[in-house]
Amino acid sequence: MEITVLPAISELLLLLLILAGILATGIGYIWLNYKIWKYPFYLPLTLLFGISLGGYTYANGASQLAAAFFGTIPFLIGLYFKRGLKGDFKSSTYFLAPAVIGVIFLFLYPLVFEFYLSFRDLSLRTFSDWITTGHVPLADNYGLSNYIEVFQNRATGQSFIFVLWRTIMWTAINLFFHLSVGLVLALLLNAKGVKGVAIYRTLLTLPWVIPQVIAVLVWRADFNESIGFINQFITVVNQLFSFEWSGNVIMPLTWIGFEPKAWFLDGSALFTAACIVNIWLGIPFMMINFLGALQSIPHSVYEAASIDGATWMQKFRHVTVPLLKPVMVPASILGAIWTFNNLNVIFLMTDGGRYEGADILVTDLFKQSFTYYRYGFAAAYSFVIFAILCILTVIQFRVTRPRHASTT
Amino acid sequence: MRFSNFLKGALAGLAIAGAAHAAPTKISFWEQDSSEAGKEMDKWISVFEKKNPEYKIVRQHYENEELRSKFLRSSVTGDGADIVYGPNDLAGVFNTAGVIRKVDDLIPANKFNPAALNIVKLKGSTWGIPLSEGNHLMVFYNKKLVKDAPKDFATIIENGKKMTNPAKNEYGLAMFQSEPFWFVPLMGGFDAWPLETKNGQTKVTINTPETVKALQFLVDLKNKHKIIPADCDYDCAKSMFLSGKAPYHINGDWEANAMREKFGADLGVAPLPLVNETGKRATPLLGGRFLFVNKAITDKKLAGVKKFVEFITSKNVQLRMATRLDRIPATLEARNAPELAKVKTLKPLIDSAEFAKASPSEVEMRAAWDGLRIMVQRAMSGKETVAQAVKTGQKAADEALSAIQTEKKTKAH
Amino acid sequence: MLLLPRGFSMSKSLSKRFLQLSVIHLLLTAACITAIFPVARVVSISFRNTDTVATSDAFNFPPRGEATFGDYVEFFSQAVIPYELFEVKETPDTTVTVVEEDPILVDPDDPFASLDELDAVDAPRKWYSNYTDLFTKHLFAQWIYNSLVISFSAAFIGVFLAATAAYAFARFSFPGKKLAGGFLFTTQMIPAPMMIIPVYLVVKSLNLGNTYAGLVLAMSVTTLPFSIMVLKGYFETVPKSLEDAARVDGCSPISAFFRILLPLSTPALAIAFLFSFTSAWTDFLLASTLIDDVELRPWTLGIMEFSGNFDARWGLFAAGSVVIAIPSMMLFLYSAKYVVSGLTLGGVKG
Repeated sequence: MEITVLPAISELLLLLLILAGILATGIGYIWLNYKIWKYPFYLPLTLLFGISLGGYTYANGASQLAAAFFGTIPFLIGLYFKRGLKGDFKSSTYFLAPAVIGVIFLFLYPLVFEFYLSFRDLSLRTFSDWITTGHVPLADNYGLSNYIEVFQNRATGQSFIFVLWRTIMWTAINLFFHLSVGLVLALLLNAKGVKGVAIYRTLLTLPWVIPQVIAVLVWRADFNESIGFINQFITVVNQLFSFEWSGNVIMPLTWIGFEPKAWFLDGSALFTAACIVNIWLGIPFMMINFLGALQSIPHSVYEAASIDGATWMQKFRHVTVPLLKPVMVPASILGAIWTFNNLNVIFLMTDGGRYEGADILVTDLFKQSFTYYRYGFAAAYSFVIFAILCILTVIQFRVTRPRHASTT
Repeated sequence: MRFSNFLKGALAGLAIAGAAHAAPTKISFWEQDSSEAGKEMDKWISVFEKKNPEYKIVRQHYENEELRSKFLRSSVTGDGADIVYGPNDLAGVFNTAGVIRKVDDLIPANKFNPAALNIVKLKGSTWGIPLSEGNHLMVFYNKKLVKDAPKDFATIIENGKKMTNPAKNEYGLAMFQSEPFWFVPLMGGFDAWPLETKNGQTKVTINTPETVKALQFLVDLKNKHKIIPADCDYDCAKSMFLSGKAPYHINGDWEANAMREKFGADLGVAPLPLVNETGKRATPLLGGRFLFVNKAITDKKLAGVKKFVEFITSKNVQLRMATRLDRIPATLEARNAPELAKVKTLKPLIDSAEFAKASPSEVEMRAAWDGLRIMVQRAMSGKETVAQAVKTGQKAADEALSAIQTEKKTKAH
Repeated sequence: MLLLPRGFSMSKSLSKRFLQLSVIHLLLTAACITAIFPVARVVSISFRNTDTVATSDAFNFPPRGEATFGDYVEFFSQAVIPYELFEVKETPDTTVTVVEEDPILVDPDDPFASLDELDAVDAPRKWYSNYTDLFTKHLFAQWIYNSLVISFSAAFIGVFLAATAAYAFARFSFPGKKLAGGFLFTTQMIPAPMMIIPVYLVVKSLNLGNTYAGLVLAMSVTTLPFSIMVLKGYFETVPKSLEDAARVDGCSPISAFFRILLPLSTPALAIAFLFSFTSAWTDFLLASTLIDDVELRPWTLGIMEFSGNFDARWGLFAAGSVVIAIPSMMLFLYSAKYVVSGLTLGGVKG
């Protein structure tokens, strides 16, 4: 099939033109503000400008919310100039402008929009009202019913607290194995005198580069209860480690739960399976990160340590760990956030939410809201997840920060 | 075209007004059919455009769920496709959201098979234009392993037991056993049905003695007769049958072509068998593929859509659909055509459709699916007894139902 | 580490070292096997014609007492490299085509006749057909091209926006700096499904729906927070005196930034670029929200065409995945060392 090349390029050139236009407008706007911020009519003027901007957007078919948002922004900027900047910080303001414009459009406005929606009853039934009139009715209980419902127990016996607990377990288990196995593999690859590191490294990164959909699908086929490989593997390994004792076959590995399972119909087994798959997928990223950090530690440091008579363990504790920490801390924090919000793996492992018992908060959000297109409820649920994650991250910062701060 | 749209927006006023004038009216067309069907549709479109150069039809393919959420989302900004082609249950979702228009004025009702029209009739109006009937389950059997078509489930169980050998991964019956779409036919065989509409209010009826019997029957296939594996999803069932590890396979008409390609003359196709206990046939859900029209469509485009609909429901196109895509045509003209009787591959599909029940298009069915899925899974995994699972299923469906019907409730109070 | 301990006799330490190395190789090999095992299956599926993922062949493992060492070896080796992979070439698919006379289309004026002739010439299926079909029958090359264009431009624009903002964060103080930094870090925690509708509405209202441009814009902004964190950290390590000297010579802050700081920060810019590129290259959600046309889809979206609910062509999907994995791996191996130094340099400081 032939490729069409040209539209993309011309379109992108146009995009650059638009961006330059937006940027020039933004810079010009700031310049103007610096010129006139001192005058007494400044604040009323920004107010007027905001109102006309809001009116303009509203007249052009935007929703009331969007109009209100873009109507207030100029006034807020005006306040910031008058109260905060006071004619100073000129360079920083110009430098920030491009990013701020982007963030306002694609982070701040969506957040405000979703916050508004979380108090509204936007679902299939009210959808046509929204399209035709732009109006969405307030949810029950002064708009709080969406939030109340998030915390209510479901008919299937699944409570919010339990899903939250499972999400935290999911994050902790995955993070632990990603970090520890990644670190061990990186140490092994970085060991002196090991040949063929390039080959090992290439093979070990395979799980990261293969598209997740197909990787998870293959895993799912392997986890099949009757014909999948995993259960066969478990049976064979159990057989390998079995022995006979007074006429009975004893399989010691089954004592620790190592036995064939109904991986999809049994909720906790499904959760285990999802963890295994996600651990498998995520190890390469951490491994390569740690490997990079280890390679940046000069060998002379170790040599100096061995001259001082340090043992392997001591070198690891006093040389490797402190030097790895600047990588480990941010990697674990970001890794935790990304794992907490990881929609893909569980969604695909449960066959798009078909199997129950392994849902974490994000997949539950997806299932509860988008099967029935309950947008208002979805917004409320998202905010709850968002708030929980913020709190957990603050805690994680508190735990890792003090020692980290002392090294910088 | 897209590029010039973009220009218009970006440099408002500088757009070339002349170019837009002569250009044909663009009708955007979203579908979620198979790739073979996609190729066939491209042919329809190119023949249609040759006849009607004043219209241009732009086809886009999406996956099922993506099509739904995308169409809803785009409708907010008025950018949804002008026509959407998909299974009948789209009618419930789109109609509830108020994003599609009635089509009674677009088509003569007497042109179509009444059963097909009935599927997308909600609240007394027709919401989709039927193109084909189908999407129903049937039994595929491997003639190398079993000679005759199964008449009743007793035959399947009897023959299946002979074929079952778990050590070799061989089982009597391969089907997507924990999916409610495969369970609802059994419900029909036991006189149970998941939805009930009374006085305009639709309720989910899972917790009934009949459902208990049907579910017990399914569980027995696994636990008592042991002719189905511990767990088997769609892919597993299909691959078991294809590799000759199962003599019987329950799957939909959409796989008929792939099965024929694989087995050739060794493939047998039969309607779902009788349930011995009641003497009734298991009733697959008969859906179909329909064309839905955007509510916000302009009159100019609507005229084009009308012409397009006339074209694709013409005898020639309908018969092409039957021969090339294994679809049961929806127009009476094509169904009664002598040519259709000659299409051997289609006959078993029509035969099995005879015993089918119309697939509910109401949005409430989504809640029923959710409840049924939980029920079947819990019962099949042994996590709950059949009686418990039925109760859980009902509860889950009711909860889901209240999520869909929130507004109704608040208005009533 | 794992250096030779001092004070050992040569032969003893040599043998110990040999032991160490073999343990290391053993562990690494085990890890590689685990990494390869599902990937090898993906490769074997990519040659299949039947479009199922499951392998229904049970490995008939002998019962306890009868299993020999060879059986175990065979079992595990088959798990890692599916035998199917080797059989595939020897047994080319001979699809049973039901040759039947087309009973209907005998009409010479049939408008479809000429169209049907076109696809009658279908080459026979080869064992590698899934790979060739990707490029001859599907728009796979176009999708890869789209992904490249989108990822490159998103990374360029993203890095530009991030660099200027990071400079302001690193070099200047301004009221609300902490708040702004905190907000940027918080954006990392937004659950992805939350952004679908509002981002769609914003991009649509800018009249950039269903265009490369809209997608590029959205992608470049989503990676902004991470890039700003990385670049800010790096800028802080560049001595301020260099710019001060330039400022004394009459340079404006803007030209000091472009002429002095940016050339010095190429490693950090590379990190931010590669990070933005990778996340754009693998993005699915934004693309599926903003792009409609099949000719505009990036590969992540395009490849999903082969995964239809009841029309899945996993053979094609797997072949596409293998094709994609190769450049992704090169990108990943190359970029990973930059990303790590980015984490080290930038740190995550809220």
